[in-house]
Amino acid sequence: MYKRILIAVDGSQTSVKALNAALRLAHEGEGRVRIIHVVEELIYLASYNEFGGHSGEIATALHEAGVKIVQDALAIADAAGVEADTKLVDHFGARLGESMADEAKHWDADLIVVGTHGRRGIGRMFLGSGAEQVVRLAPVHALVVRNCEHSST
Amino acid sequence: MYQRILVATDGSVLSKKAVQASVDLAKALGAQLIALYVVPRYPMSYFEGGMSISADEVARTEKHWADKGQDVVDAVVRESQSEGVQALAVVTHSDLVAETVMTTAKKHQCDLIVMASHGRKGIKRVLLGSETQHVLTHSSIPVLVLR
Repeated sequence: MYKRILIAVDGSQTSVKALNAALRLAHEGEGRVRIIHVVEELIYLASYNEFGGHSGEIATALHEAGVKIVQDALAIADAAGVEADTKLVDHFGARLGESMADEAKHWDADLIVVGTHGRRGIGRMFLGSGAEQVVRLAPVHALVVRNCEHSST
Repeated sequence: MYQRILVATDGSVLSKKAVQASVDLAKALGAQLIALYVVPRYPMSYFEGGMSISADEVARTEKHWADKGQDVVDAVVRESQSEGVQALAVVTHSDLVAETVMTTAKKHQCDLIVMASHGRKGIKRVLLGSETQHVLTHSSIPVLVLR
């Protein structure tokens, strides 16, 4: 059974579902979880979207949002009675998949849990780019949880 | 937690590891295991000039593949039972492996699908197998990818 479960959160509904799956597995196996959130500034700072061109305050805002996301997730874990800690990855150019793989190796995780889509999901037909990256680079087992409330398949 | 776990196997080395891990998981969770092997159809060319192969020959080859698949899943069931896990062996015939994995999971009301990150066609660890990728993209049931 899994003892050290690494769970990626981004504050989305799907990631809460993935977190719950991770917590249940941890509970069953008397394991612990590490909640990780990766701040991906690059997509805001280096792209031509609505945030393009801004700098400084947007990075701070993203960091603060990240802190809140991991704190909220930690509160859920505490409520479930599962031993948990958090980690916020916030350095320029951090990518979700790579950060998760690195953390899994460092922390000696035996399972990575991730939701299929986070905030940027456009439809249930596709696998989120973040989730795909995580699974491709995962050095250990990876559980992919889908938010299927509206899904018929 | 999970009551019924479907494990898709193709008899490859990595998928044998996936089977071992899913037996362990089923044991820990007290879940049932469904071991699935998807047998491909004999490839046929309908173009002019394609080699003609007698139906008997095709049937014989497909039977051979199906027997091999049955052996693989039977071995999984034996392994599970020796660990005290209830298991069911399923062999299906289809070229659409990923689709079959998902429909079988639904048919047997599985709540978790376990697959290796790639099977026979894998070339590199960093690459994700095409069938596994397909299941990840389309499955509404949680998928555990093992490597």
